[in-house]
Amino acid sequence: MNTRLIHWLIILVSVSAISHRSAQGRDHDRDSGAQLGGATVSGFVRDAVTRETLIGATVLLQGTQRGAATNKSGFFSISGIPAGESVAVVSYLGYETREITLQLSEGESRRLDISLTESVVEMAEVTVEGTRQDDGRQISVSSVTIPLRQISQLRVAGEADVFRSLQFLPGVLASSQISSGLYIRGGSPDQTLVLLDGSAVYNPSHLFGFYSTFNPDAIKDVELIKGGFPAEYGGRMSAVLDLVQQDGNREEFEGKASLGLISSRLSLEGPVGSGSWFLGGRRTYIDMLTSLIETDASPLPSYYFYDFNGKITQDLGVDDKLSLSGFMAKDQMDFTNPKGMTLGLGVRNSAAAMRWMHLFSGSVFSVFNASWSEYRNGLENERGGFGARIDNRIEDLTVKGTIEWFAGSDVKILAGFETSRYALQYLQQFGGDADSSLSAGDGAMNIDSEDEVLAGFGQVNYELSARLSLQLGLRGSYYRLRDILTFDPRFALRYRLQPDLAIKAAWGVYHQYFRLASVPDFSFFDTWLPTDETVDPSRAIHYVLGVETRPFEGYEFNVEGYYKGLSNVSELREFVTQSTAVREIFYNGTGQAYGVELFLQKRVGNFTGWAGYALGSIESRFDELNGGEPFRPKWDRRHDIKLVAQYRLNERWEIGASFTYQSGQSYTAQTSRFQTSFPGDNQGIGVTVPADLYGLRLPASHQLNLNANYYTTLFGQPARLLLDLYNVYSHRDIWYRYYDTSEDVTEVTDVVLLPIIPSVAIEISF
Amino acid sequence: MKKSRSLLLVLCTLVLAAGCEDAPPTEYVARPYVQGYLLVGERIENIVVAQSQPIDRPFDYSASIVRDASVSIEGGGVEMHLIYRDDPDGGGSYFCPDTTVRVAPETTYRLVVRMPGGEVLRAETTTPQSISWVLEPPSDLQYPRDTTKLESSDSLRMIWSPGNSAEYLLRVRAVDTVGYGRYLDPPSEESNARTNSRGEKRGTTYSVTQWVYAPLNRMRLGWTSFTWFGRNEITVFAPDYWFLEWFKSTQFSRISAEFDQRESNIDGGLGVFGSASILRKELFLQKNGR
Repeated sequence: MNTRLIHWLIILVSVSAISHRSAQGRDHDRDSGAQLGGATVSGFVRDAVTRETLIGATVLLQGTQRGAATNKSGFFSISGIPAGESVAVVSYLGYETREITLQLSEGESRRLDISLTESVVEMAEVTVEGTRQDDGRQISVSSVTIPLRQISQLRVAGEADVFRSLQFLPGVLASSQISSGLYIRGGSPDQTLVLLDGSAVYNPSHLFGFYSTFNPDAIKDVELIKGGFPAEYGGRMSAVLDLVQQDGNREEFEGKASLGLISSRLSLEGPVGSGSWFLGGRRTYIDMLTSLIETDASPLPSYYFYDFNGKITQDLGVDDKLSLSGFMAKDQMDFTNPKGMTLGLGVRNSAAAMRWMHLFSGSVFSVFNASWSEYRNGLENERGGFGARIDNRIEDLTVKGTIEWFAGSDVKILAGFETSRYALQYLQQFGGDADSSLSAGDGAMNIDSEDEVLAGFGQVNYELSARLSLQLGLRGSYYRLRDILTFDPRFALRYRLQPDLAIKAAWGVYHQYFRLASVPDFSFFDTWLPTDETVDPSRAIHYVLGVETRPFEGYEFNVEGYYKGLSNVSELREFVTQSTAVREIFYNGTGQAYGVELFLQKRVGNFTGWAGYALGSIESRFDELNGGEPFRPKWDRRHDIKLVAQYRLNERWEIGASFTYQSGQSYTAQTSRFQTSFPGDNQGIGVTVPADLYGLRLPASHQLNLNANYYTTLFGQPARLLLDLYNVYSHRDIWYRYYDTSEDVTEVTDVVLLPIIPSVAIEISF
Repeated sequence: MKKSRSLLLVLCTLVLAAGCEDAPPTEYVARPYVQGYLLVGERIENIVVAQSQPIDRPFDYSASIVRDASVSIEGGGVEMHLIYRDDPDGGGSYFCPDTTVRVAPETTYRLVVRMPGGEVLRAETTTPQSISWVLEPPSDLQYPRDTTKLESSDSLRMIWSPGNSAEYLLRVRAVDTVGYGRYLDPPSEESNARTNSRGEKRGTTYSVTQWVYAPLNRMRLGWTSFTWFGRNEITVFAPDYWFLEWFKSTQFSRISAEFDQRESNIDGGLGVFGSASILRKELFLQKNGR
């Protein structure tokens, strides 16, 4: 269908919905025949003890199908409530459900801030009255939220990690056992928009990609949208990972410390003024351990990482909230060998944001965000007076504003803008002069440029009937450097067949302006490049169709099929040492990804967990690769099975297990060999001749992990002893296979990954 | 119920079986390989013609050489038919018998190889502009006494005219790995030795060359570029596109280099036909004090 026609259809339907709402003036309440000019109830849902806002809590009007879910700020709004008595039922996972009786008069706008108490009996079979899906205006397609509690259980080598936890979801793959990069429905990690309190983070990884930079103690909410995401999100074409940081305990000071084998963490929080503060930090001590075992004759690299989160939140009156947040993560590796060579590698992620939330009224909610984010990596090497340097960074200054108008019980309108200024630099100096400064004039690969992106978006969520809800959105973006304007229409619907059975569908166009030059398994030299005059922005079209249901009490089951068509996608050209034109740094091609995912999840009770299966296929095509024939990329895994289970035995013990199975990664086999040399060489180099690009599969990857938590006290404070057994039967996944031609006999060598790793950690709360 | 369990078992088996490793390919087709580098000002020689061999058998370099191909090069209005000769290392190559012919700068040369089996391979290269020294390295160098306290030294800095290339290669070659004292004044019986940079070793033989990539027309070599004391030769190469791409695709991943058709200009086969302008400088590297 013609894209322009789709744009106009979306605008037409949106305007019709708004006009229908305002022109009609009064509507018929489908349950009781009351008038639209009814009451509005709005407010925040918070934890009764910490006063932390709760995201995704549901507020339902008893006896009706009318309700709302709290947004990322913990805010909800329900309009068109009939005058008289209503009972609001408020529920949230892990908290006791509350019923609040309201006496509302015609046209009244009631502010209702609600506190929920955490369930007294841990993991009791609390029945959650509703989910986000019970807000008829809300359509969440391909959206997954993992309870933070479960993230803390899904540990790798004793460390809980947000990205690693997400890799236990079906359809979310990793390039290898040692990578935290997310390959979601065929999309590479750079195609996922990662937001922390609304700020984009560009390379959120530690230990060369092994862990993410997000300290789980500092995170309050994790939402992953695997496809079909709405118009408020832009700039990436595959998925969205939206993380919200903790605000902090508004009532009293508290803290948590943990000591593990790889790193230690400390988080502190407490009240200040009319709000709260939060500080969290983490540091590894690999450098301290290596310094104890290395010798002068056999030095070891000194490596460390740390990250730091901070946030302060203040209420400026009843209708305003201001928060300032910061985040910094650093990795540093230094090495000096006895022959005088020095090598330094450094990676740094930094972000700061100011967020102002303002309520214009009980039904108009707004958020304005100003953020700064920088990703930087660098290399310095010197030996015998010969030096080399690389300095690489991307800096992002963004101002964003969003207004949410809860226009009625069946209409929600969202509109906003986003303007960003980028600075990109890639500077290298391999001339040997280590002490010379880097500038864009030196070296053929040096980039030093700036760019701006301006975007606006609008979206209407319209509940046509008790069964059918529509979501129509449009996002427009202008890219200055490329001087191009793109439009991204987005559409979603939900049709409720029965109270616990619904069909969901989504379609949308997604443009991506930035592309990443990166090594898949080793996240260090990541370089972001803009779309310049030599290429067009990358683009994806998503089609999603699924069914969601609750087959049994406490269980949710989703089946979802997807198709994603990709154009102007990039594959890094190897050995490019000249040129800054994007066309010459990347191959440009097309791709498609399609598959089906099954996901059964239980989130409450003594037993929690999920079972997921994904059957997927990815196909890429580049004119210059594989003779122009389609091929499957390295991260294509036909079958993907994920099983996660956690069981609370009693007050002291909790045990869990996770199992993953994936079809083997693709690789390129070699069929023959010849020898080459260069003028004056007395030895040749063996060169192999490949078969089809990524034409074969390595053995399947599979792994079983076990964990146990022992609840106790330490120094009179609640504590947990965390016991982990990673890769229980020590299955050594193959990282990659290569053909060693250093001798006449070609050695086919597999580089294998992690064996069984036991670990223990202690965590104390105070 | 039994049927459901059987079906589930079959499905699981299929899933697991589908996840097994694929068997490696067994098909092999011998492919012709050509390697030729034309160096401005030098004779036309060392053109190698060979066949690839199966990867599951030990590689026999001598057996891979094709000794009866028809090789001709046309350039500068002259067509030359090359003839074969054996090399001391067990291999062999083709050369232009007219030793007065020298490779000219900024000239297009076309290579045609007719294999004994009938395949025809073609390639073309245009030689770069000549280059010259702006700052050449000295003739004598003293290897530092204490290599753990290496100081920045201008004696290893060199600059050359850019020509029409944007990237360069440097080669350090040990000219005489045996003799050392005979070049001193007064001469001695002292024999040569390796520096503490060992260089690559295959079997019992060390490599006598070290290659360095240079992104600019100036470079400061590191001491580790020298693997032998005594007589060494530094050569700057200003390569054409194909020489450079072939170098990057094979040298940057030496023990697991994989052929990439995009880095090869041989039409009908594997390999490279490239060219370069060169600058040579011979120097004597004195041993560090003991």
